[in-house]
This record gives sequence, structure tokens and C-alpha cells, in this order.
Amino acid sequence: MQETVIAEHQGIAGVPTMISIKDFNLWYGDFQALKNITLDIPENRVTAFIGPSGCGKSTLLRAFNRMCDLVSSVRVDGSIEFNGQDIFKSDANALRVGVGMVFQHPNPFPMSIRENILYGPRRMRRMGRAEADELVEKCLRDAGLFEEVKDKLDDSGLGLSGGQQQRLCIARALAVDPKVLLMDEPTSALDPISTSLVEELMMELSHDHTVVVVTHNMQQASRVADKTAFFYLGELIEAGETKQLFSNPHEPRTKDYLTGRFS
Amino acid sequence: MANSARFDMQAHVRRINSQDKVATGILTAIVAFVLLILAAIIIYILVQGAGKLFDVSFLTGEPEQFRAGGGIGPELFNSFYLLFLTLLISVPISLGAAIFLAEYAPENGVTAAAKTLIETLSSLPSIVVGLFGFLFFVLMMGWGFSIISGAIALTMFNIPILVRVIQQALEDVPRSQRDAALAMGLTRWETTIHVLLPVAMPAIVTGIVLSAGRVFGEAAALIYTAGQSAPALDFTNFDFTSPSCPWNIFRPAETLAVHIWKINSEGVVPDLEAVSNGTAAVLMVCILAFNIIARLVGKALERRLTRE
Repeated sequence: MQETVIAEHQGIAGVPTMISIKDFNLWYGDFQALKNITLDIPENRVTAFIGPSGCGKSTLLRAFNRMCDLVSSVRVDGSIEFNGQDIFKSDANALRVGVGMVFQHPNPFPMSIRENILYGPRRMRRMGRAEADELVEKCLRDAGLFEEVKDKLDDSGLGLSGGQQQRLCIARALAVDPKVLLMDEPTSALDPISTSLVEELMMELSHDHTVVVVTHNMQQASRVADKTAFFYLGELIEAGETKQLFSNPHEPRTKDYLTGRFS
Repeated sequence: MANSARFDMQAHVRRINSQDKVATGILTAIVAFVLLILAAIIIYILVQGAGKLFDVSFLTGEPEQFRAGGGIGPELFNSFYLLFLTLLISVPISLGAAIFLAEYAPENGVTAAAKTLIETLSSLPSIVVGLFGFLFFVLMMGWGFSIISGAIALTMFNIPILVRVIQQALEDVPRSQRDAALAMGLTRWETTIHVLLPVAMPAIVTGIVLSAGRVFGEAAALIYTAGQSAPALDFTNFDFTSPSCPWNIFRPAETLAVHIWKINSEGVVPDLEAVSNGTAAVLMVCILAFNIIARLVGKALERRLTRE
């Protein structure tokens, strides 16, 4: 993996890069949503994207698994490499298996809890009953949900509470063993207790997954993220180790945002 | 100063409250009027046909040409058989077309034209469909007045409605479900079959059953396609070329709705009015049943989807 010296404003020295973004531009029709983004996402760390609404942070996140392709007017320029491969030259469906996503609003499939988890892996390989049960339990444990649902695995996933549904979505994403987990404001629809559960989960998952989280909540970024990137009007203003960025931002605009002078 | 402001506020509240009351009153009156008309029609038909509604010999008997006491057995069977065949043909075609339009069709002129055509077809007068069926299936294809001619005419009449209902049901599936599926790397087909269709199923089933009610009561499209005669049926006859074999799709088959039309326009039986009223009551009870079934099944499917 690349262990080249990373510029100081870029972040965490000595950690290999999982996603590497170079001179990346993205347009919706005539509107340029992302301008010349160059950024490295470190492997097995939590990276947070912060910035005011419309700054492009969610757009960049959705470029990582090419969900942005679904908008017909989108045009991109520059490169995003995942595991050393240009994502725009690989198969989108295959990419999405390696790069899982959790959304703002929990969206379990209309199936039982068990089926929600098994659906992804079953597409790729045959599984015996024992292996399937084991996988369901492992994913639910990793998502911190197993104890709450172990007696109702065959009930619909849509019958769970919002916080539980969100953890089920995380478990479902983990089931296909992705390297990267993208989280698009994963706690903004959740109550405080569920939020802190999901935050703990992000940190635990980052031991063996690369987590990228978009958040409106700066405290959340400072709590969970190893690296933080601040976006404003489609530009990457500043990125770096979270502690350093929050305590000693280089850019005045970062400072203004962090101190609430604009939002 | 403060007092007068508070006084104004109270007057304003009184005014908007009385407006609200008037609006509620008018809307209630409109609904009550509509319900009254509907209830009057339904009760009238049921009361007029009540005598025949529970008369087994009427429900299973053969119709009479000249004498009193004829039944509607073959018509009742024909109506259901024709409905079954129509749904058998129209549901798969509509499902495919709706999935294509909702999930696959590129947004271009061709798609827009197809959608407009379907909408036009859905407002086509059914007598036009019937006369087209007469010229094309009955005469040109040489199928004669037959169940198959009727079923295909009804299919033409049913497809546009079903396509729109199913397409709407698919498009109403929340964006988040689609996102979830695509973000897992599911193809469009996997997304449609395993995620979108199950979510849309309650609405689809409700739509199919409601369209079944319309098909069941249709007369104009059938007069010149399925015909106006009901040969006596023999349920032990499995000779598929015989007109008395119930399953023979090339035999003429008068339905309940056509029967009502025929006996009122050219019937000579002495108990014409009683037969007509009885048939109308049976037809209406069937259609009411379809509507109730549609609601129950839709609700049951929805409960199953979100069962705790």
C-alpha cells in the first residue's frame, strides 16, 4: 500500500490509503457540485465529512459507490481509486459489494430480519443452514443488535424501532464483508440513545473496516472520527487529523464554521 | 391598545372558526348526497332482486327462452370463467409492461408516447373495443362468438388500467428502498423482483381485484365477442370441442351483464322483470364482494409485510 509522505493538511501519517481522490470534479448538469477534490481516505479508520448543507459532502460520499451514476445529468472528471483501481472503470455492481452504504433513513428490505442479512451473501454463494445462522448471528452481534432480536429473527425487519432498523441496515451491509462502509448522516433520524449506539459501532467497526461518515453534527465528528474533512461550496477547505482540525484549524473558514459563525 | 388588539384577535378566531364550520358542513352535505344516491341504487337493486338472490334453482338453473322460471346458472359460470381467462392473459402482460415503464424505460419520446397511448386506450369506450373484437377476432380470425374472443376483448380493455395501477404502485415504493437495493450492488432485475414488487404487492393486488370488478360487470365489449347465447353446460363433458363443455374456449358464452342487457332488450319470457332484477342483484353482490376482497387482501398483505 502507499505509505508515501502525506502532506500535513492531508491527515494521518503512516496509515495506508483505502480510497484516493485526485482532482475530482462533479457536475449536476451545469452546476458544479464538487471542485478539484484531492483527498485520501485512510484504511481502517473513521473519516468524517463535515460542512454546511449543499457543500458537496454527501455527493462525494455517493461518488465512492457510484450511487451518483443514478442521476442521469451527472458528469465527472478526475479519478477516485479504491484499492488502487479507478472506480469509474470497474463494474458498479461489483464495486458496491465492496463498498457498503448506510443511509440517513433506515431502509430495511421488506423481509424478515434473517432474510435482510442473508439476501446479499446468498446472491454470491450457496450457504447451508448452519453457516447461514452463524453469519446472521455474527452480523447482528457486530451491529450490536443480536440480543434485542434473537427471538424474532423471522419477524419483518420493518417491525423494528428506527434505531434497531438502522443497526439492522448496518448488519445487512456487513453481511457481504465490505472493505468500506459509507454512512450518510446515519444518526440524523435517530434518538440520542440510538445515536450513541451507532457512534460506538462506527468506532468498533473501524478496527477492520474503513468508515466514512457524513454528518451535520460536529460533536459527532469530533467523537468518532480519526480524520475530518471540511467542505464548503463544493470545495475541500481543509482535511486532517480530527484533534488537530478541531483544536487548531489552518483555514479561517474552517474556524468560522467550527465556532458556529456560519452554518 | 393592547385590549383592542386582543379584541381583533378574538373576532378573527371567531370568523375563521365559523368559516371552518361552514366548509365542514358543505363538504359533509356533498358526501352525504353522493352516499345517499349510491345507497338508494344499491338498496333498490337488492330489494328488487332479493327474491331471486337466495333462490338456488335460479342461481344454478338454465335460462328459459319463452317460459317463466328460467335461471342464470350458465351465465354465472361464464362470468367467472371469462374473468379468470381475462386475468390469466392480462395480469402477466400488464405486470411486464408496468415493470418496464416504471423501472427500465429510458425517459425519451418513445416512452412518453407509450404512456400517452396507454392512457388513451384506458379511456376507449368499451363498445369500440367490442366492435373491434367482433371484426377482428370473431370474423377475421374466424373464432366466432366465443369465450376466447370475449376474453381477449376484455384483456384489451383491462390492460391499460392494470398497467397504470401497477406502474403507480411501483413508482410509489419509497426511494430509500431502491437506494438500499442498489447500494448493495443488486441489479435492476434483482431490485425489482425481490424488493420493489414485494413492497408494491398490496397495491398491485388491490388494483387487480378492483379491475376484476370492472371486467365482471362489463357488457358492451362482450355483446359482439362472447355472444348473447348461453348453451347448456354439462360439467361431466370434457370434449373440448363440444359447446356444452364448460371449459371449451370456442363456445359462445353470455355473461350476467350481457344477460341483463339481452332480456331487457329482446326478452320475451313472462317473468322478464324478475329475472332481470335477480341477475342485477347477483351481479352487484359479486362486485361488492370483489371490492371487499380487494380491501381485505391488500390489508392482509400489508400486515404481513410489517408483521412484528
